[in-house]
Amino acid sequence: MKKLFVVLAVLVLIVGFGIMRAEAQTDTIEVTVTLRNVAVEITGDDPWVLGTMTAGQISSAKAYTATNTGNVNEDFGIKVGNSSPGTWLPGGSSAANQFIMALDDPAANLTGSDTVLATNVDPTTGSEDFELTFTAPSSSGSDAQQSIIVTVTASPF
Amino acid sequence: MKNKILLRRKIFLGMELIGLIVFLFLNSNLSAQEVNHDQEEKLIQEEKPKPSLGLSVQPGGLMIQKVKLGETYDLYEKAGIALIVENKDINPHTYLINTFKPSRVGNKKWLQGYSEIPDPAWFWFKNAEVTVGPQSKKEVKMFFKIPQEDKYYNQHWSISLGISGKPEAGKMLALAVYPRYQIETESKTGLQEKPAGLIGLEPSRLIFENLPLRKKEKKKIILYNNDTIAHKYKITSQVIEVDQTREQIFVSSSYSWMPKKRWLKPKKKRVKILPGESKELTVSVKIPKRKGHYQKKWEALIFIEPDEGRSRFARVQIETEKSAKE
Repeated sequence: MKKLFVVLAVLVLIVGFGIMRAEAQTDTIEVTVTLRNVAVEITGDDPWVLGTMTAGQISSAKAYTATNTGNVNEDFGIKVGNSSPGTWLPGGSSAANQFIMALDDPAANLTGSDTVLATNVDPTTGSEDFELTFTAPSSSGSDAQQSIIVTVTASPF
Repeated sequence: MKNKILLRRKIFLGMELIGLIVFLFLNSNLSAQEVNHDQEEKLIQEEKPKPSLGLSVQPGGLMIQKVKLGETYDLYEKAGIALIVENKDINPHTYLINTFKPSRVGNKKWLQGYSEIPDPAWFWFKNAEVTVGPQSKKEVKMFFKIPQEDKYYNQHWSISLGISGKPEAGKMLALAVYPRYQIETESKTGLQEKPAGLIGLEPSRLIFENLPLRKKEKKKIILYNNDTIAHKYKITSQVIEVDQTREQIFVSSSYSWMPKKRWLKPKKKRVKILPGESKELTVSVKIPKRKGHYQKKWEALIFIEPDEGRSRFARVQIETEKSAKE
């Protein structure tokens, strides 16, 4: 019985040692990092003061430039949020509490999701000029001043 | 000096005026006219230099390999890597930081060969938002943990990070940047369940160690069709031409791309698999015997392209024999 116990104890030790060796040989994570940075700059009036507008009025176009200031080719996108504090929503037509924020090229009415502004923009000199035009809602449930955020986005090409 | 202009509603000839005033920033030369309370206030704005917003995020690309399931990783602790958010503007900005499936943000693209991470919440940050001063940078620590489930071995995932300017009072413009990272989990065989994804691989990495030159050796990969329809797959060997300006599949650490992809060959170039079934793919490697081919560490890819849907790949790593034999 004592001999059996010793044999079993030795077996346990051997198995335990085997497990420890396997764990020690297990690979750790490997991380590969590029020196790339994804970056974008925008120039143009901020804020864009539209003043008082009549229902459905269309503003003059406002010019901006988005520049790839990173070191990787990028795609630019653009999107618009709801107004604040009253909730005007962006849409494809001027309607009650609905405005249009239109992009000139490619021609599109901005929404809350990215619209393509430019693709494969070169990192060294690449930039994209664009213009926005605002159309006021046909009617509003709020007479408070409204703020609207336009977001320009950059993603690796 | 800033003046906030209030718009008053006015009914004019039965038409309702809709006022849209964005917060106005005035410089010292700007003045506002006093108006009669019964009349609308007007704002006169002088020409001012066009401001710019600038946002830069590093690293713009990152690949993490051999990720163990069930383990929490602190990227800063493991590899000295933190997300660096740089505000290139002359004003401070607060940025929101989050993770997404690549199909949900930005250009909605991700690298061929990778699948979208099943749950972006497996990757998180120490802070959900960070305020960065003008012309300054801030570091944000990153963490991730993949659940301990057999199906998550042999995975190649892509995840998008979102770093976006928080809307600010008085501002109309904001910037958002969406870098993408790749996460490759540990390669393993003998799994208790099928690998996750429409295309499953087991293992996701083949290693040919101490490969004698001029000798052909073979290994196998199990290819799973986890879709509900049959697929035909095209099997090819590939190496990636390095282009630092583009997002690409990185070669594994300590390896370089194999000089000739033809040294790696799949036995079959096309295979059809019924839904829910799997097949074994045999690949062979044979490196020509040349002086400069000894003791090399090369990598190539076996790409699996379905007739419909996104591709997958397995890494094939070759370590050639150490020295010429007498």
